[in-house]
Amino acid sequence: MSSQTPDESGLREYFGFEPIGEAETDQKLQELKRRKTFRRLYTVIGLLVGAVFFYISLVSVGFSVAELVRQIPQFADALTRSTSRRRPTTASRLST
Amino acid sequence: MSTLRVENLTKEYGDVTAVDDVSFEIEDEFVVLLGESGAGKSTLLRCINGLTEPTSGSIYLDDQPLADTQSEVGMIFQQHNLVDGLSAYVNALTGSLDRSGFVQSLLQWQRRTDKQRSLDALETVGLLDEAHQRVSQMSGGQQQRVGIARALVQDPALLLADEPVASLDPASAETVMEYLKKAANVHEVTALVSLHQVNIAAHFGDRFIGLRDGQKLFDITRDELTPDCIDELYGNVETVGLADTESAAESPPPELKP
Repeated sequence: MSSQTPDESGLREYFGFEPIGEAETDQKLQELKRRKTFRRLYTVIGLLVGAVFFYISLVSVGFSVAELVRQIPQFADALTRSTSRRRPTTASRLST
Repeated sequence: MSTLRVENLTKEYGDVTAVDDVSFEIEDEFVVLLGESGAGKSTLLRCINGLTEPTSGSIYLDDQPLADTQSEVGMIFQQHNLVDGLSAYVNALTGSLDRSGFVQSLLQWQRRTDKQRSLDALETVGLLDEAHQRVSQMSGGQQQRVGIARALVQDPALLLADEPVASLDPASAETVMEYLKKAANVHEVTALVSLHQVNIAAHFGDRFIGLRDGQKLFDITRDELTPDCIDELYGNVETVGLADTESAAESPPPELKP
């Protein structure tokens, strides 16, 4: 007799760790679900590792995420001024 | 099982008449459209599929008029038209898009029956083991079989194929045609396939409709398909044969004019 509750069984089936049926297509569907679970897991691990490296690099240059957020308006302002300086206006084009 | 009825179909592009007053009816058959390039085969298929609007005439599927694109009509293209970055399974699953919402499709939350149907279709075309493989890593023949699977997932009443094996080598072409015929038989779908290769057409077709200059030249069964019919359709074209070795060695190679 299985000790798993129906919820547990459904979850295991969703993640591809519970057989769906006997047919070849059922087995393939289970394999595809399991592959997807692993792919998602690797993606999450990759994102976490990236976040950790990002945090370490911020700390090493004496910066912080909070500081980075505070600087966003200045960064946006500088970016706007930089792009407006590069694009000549119609009036300036006419004067030249 | 379904019946396709085409009545006095005409399609004009400006002064050019691509399809000229074509009528026929097919019921639960594997029908092959034959004809030279520009004979109107693709235009006829596109009219039936709703991708092109006919100038005049009517098309009925099971006595219901066919207008615009409909999920009841599955289409297999010469260039496969698959999403390269996705697996064979997900590509086949796109055949169920009309039955699932935008978010469902985006997150692959389709119903279990649709997922099962995708794998069944891939099994029909002999690609169940490769279901997880990206289609960009597959051969042209395998990609076309994924295209067939996608059309089957649509659960169509009519299957159209526009020169499905034109870009394949002879062996792959035969394999794809075998799977296409099997798919039509297993899923009990009426099929209308345009082909250039007469030998393949003769081997797989139950019935043949010949088009020349947009007009229907013949509508015959396999027993009635004779070399004379083919000559009449394509003209007395002498195809280039294999040169015999001695004469090939003696004669200089043909020079290309600049």
